[in-house]
Amino acid sequence: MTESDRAVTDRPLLEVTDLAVSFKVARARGSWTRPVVRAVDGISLRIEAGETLGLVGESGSGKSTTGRAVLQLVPADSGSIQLEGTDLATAGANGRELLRKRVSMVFQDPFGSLNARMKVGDIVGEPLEIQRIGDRPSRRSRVTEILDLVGLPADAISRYPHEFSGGQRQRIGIARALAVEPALVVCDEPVAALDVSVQAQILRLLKDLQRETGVAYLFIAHDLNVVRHVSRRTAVMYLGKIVEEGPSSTLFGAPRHPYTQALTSAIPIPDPDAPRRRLVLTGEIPSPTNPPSGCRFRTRCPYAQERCAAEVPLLEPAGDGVSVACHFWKEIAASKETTEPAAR
Amino acid sequence: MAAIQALDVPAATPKGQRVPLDRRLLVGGVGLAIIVLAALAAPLIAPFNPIEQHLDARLQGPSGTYLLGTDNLGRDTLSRLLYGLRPSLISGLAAVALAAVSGTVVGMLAGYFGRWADAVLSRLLDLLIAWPTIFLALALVLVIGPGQFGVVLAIALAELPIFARVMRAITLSNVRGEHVEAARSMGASAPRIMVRHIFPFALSPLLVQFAIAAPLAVVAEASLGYLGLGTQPPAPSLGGILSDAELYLSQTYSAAVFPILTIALLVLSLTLIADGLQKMLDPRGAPVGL
Repeated sequence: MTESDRAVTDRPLLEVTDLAVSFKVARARGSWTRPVVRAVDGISLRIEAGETLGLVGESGSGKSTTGRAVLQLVPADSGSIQLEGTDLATAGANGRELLRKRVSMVFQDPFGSLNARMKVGDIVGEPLEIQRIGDRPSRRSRVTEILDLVGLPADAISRYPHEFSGGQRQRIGIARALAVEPALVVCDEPVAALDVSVQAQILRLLKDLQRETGVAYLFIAHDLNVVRHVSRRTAVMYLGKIVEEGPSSTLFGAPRHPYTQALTSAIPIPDPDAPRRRLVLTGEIPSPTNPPSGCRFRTRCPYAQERCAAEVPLLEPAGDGVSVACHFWKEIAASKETTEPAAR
Repeated sequence: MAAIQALDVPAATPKGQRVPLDRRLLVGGVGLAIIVLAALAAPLIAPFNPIEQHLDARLQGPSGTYLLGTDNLGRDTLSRLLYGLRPSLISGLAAVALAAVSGTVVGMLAGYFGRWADAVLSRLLDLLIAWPTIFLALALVLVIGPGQFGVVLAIALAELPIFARVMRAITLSNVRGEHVEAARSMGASAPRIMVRHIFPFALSPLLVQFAIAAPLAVVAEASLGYLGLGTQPPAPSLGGILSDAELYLSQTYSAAVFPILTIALLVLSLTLIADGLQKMLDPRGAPVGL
């Protein structure tokens, strides 16, 4: 393998560097300026071909905005998004074409995301039509193939979305996302709107499809159990910043950041006798129009000290492939060790 | 591939329960059909040439020869009405069609692009909507010039806001929807999104608006004709016949009453159709969508 070949293969599928996205919101009464919401404030992500990166956080943390920015559905203020080594912001029309061919999206709402006036076959075939891939008969056969792949009956092609259940509709959405044979699918809360039993089926489908097609997922969700189930690595977002990132097993098994600790302690354990230490957060997520100074989590953090208000913590390696953005993660981990046996 | 098993899908549901045909729609439809057929068949069923003068039989009431009487020049009222229906129907329909097409485009652009495009277009629509239809059409026809073309253009402009507003509202309610965002994420162009992902949702409300606008257009056409701004004499039009007859009301009622009845019947039929359509296509009654 030559040096240049290595460069090609070592290149990540998607590399997001220092991405920032902000929105202007409606002017308040009597105010002349429109407040700016910094929905995503300098985050970096890396997704390798064929892997799944989970992105978790509560509502308003900026995780959906991150996904939309990757697809260029919302404009980024700064930072770069590189897809297979191409910077999408500077590559212009070529970048857009690459993006539409290589990246697609699965949406949260299985009802709203499908055009109710279009037949399933047209919905799934639309990305092919837009990309001008193949002629009509070949597109048709691709649609038939992909419907079969996601486990929908062949006659679905000539039916309307309202004739299907929520889970089946999500299969239609997944079929549409996979029609162009993308390298990356951004899944924005793909199972949040589904019943738990159906969630499991859809998650299994996504995993099976990954195994068969080698597609990578940016899996955005607020449900930690769901993310833990599907993603090899997970990033935790809070108020537009990534607070902790690393292999899912380590991140959920031994969370370093107090926010991740609070999130994981809230995962229900189906065993009444299991020892549990709930770390309950007080208050709501602060307004992103006016985030706290320093560490954004400090207003809700039980370990917050003066330094947290003054200095923004940076993501730093914390062992086992995990990165964490907290000034005191070591101290918190150490105090845990000493108190652990005491906690029942 | 078989590893991912198909879930059982319920057998195809009956294609949207058929909404029973509304009675008003039926009655209005029959009325309109009779009027349209009469207008189409005018050369076959009209007893006289509509502009042929019978100076020996002026201002007569209904009789065996002149079924609906004659006017001040001895022209047969029935024949004039049959021929006069044509410009009324054509102008009305053409005006509404023009208003529907242009209003749909304006409303869609305003709703889709928002911001200043919406601000400018919406203020222009407000400008048009601020006046009563007839008054606006009258002012416009004076600017454009009398005759059938001027009338059509004037009525179309006057009724354009009806369609534009409906289309704008429906565009606004869809443009932020996930199905539109999904289309954007696939790289769909703005025209594609408008045509494939927004317009289909406006079809039934636009159809109802069309039915509401049609009788208004017929009345506007007749009014402009009555004022001498529509179809120019001696060619007959419903409004023109009425205005000719008005001067001689003291001598014969028939030349005035029958055009009025014809206009009333036409407007009633169209209004019944509008009511019926609205009832049938009402979003709350519809099985899917909207």
